Amino acid sequence: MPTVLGFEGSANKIGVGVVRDGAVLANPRRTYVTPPGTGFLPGDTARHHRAVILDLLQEALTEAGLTSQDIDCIAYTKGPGMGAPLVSVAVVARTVAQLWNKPLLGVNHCIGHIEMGRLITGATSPTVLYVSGGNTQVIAYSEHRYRIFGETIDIAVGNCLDRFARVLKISNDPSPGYNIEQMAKRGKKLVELPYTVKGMDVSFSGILSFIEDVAQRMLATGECTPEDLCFSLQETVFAMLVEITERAMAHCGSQEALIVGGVGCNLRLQEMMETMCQERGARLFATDERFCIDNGAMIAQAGWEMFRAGHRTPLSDSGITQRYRTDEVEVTWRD
Amino acid sequence: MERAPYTPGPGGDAAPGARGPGNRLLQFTLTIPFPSAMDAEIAHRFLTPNEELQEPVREELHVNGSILTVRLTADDPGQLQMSITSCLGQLSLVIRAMQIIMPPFFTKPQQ
Repeated sequence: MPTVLGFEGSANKIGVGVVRDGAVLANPRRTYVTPPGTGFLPGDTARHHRAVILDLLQEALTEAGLTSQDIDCIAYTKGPGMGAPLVSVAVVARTVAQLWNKPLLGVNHCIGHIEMGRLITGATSPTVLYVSGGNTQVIAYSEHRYRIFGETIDIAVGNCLDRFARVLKISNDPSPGYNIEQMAKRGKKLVELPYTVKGMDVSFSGILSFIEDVAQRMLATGECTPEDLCFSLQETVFAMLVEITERAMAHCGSQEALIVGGVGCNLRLQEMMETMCQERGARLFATDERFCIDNGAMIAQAGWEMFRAGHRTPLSDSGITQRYRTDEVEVTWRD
Repeated sequence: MERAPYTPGPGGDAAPGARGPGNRLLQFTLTIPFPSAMDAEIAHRFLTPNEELQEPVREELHVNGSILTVRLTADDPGQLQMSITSCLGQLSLVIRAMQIIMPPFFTKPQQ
């Protein structure tokens, strides 16, 4: 029963997790939060991660009741993500692996989300909607690859929400998306926004430009409230996501849908997806903020699968890659 | 010739490289003495440069006995400065990790 330690730090969350045979033994995490109206920059984020990662490592081992001798493998996020934060975490993973003389595994961040979603929910072969600040993809498993059926052609849906939050100077604590969701609940007026689905893909940059312009004008004249704009943005982008997910489910004949990624915590998105699934006679699976949001245990879980399947990352290949496609990984641990 | 920015540090120096006018190559070299050759070699392996992030700053690491040498080379002084900051941060992290993580520092927690 292998025990895997996982490091995650591709964006502004840094987490260290421990997984053994499907059980999450520890999963502490820290988030780098910037002031309202600002985003997180790579250098500052990396500095934050470097300052806390060793404490998180100790915290994870203490929470799991383990020592270095109990760990069988070290997994870390190889990519995709922001360069400087990824490097900071990879350096520590490499250091730990060599000092403890344990095998090292570079994990695809997106696959980490999928494998943790499958573990927690028990979904067997779902169509996956992966939505976060850095990624927006509709994924389904086929012949040893997680195939991308649809995706954003520009920015991620979470990036669209986060950047809109900056326009309204919405707090980034605990996350801009969460605060937009709370404000949206108080929205009453639906402002018509561009709806940009392009076949199996989606586009958010134009919606962002449009709403940034509309926000200033309409708020100044009192035509709508910030809550109305939050509500309108969510309704529009989430409807787009539901459409492309349904299209992929129809294509694959899938009866399961799984939402993963930080934006997957959004209860309105889950509600809209549930409605679509019910209409199709399908089941919806989703996790809570412990596992939706980037965390170390998801990397450990993917690493656990990879380790059991015989994957290893040699030291010469233990760098990072900012652009790491979900379908680049051969998923040898599934039939 | 305009001098490259100076960044203090143990054995660190920054100097202009040999290029023609208008095409300046800047170089920063940092030498770090470790207690032993083994410690220097361990740190060297932990700090293996990431190929993908080489451009536009080139990073080279060398070990000679107990001395680890880091050399950063770039055309742009701003990017060199950022790389120096990042390099020093990673070096600090690796050294802290070596001090903290090596057994027996990680003992079983008291029940």
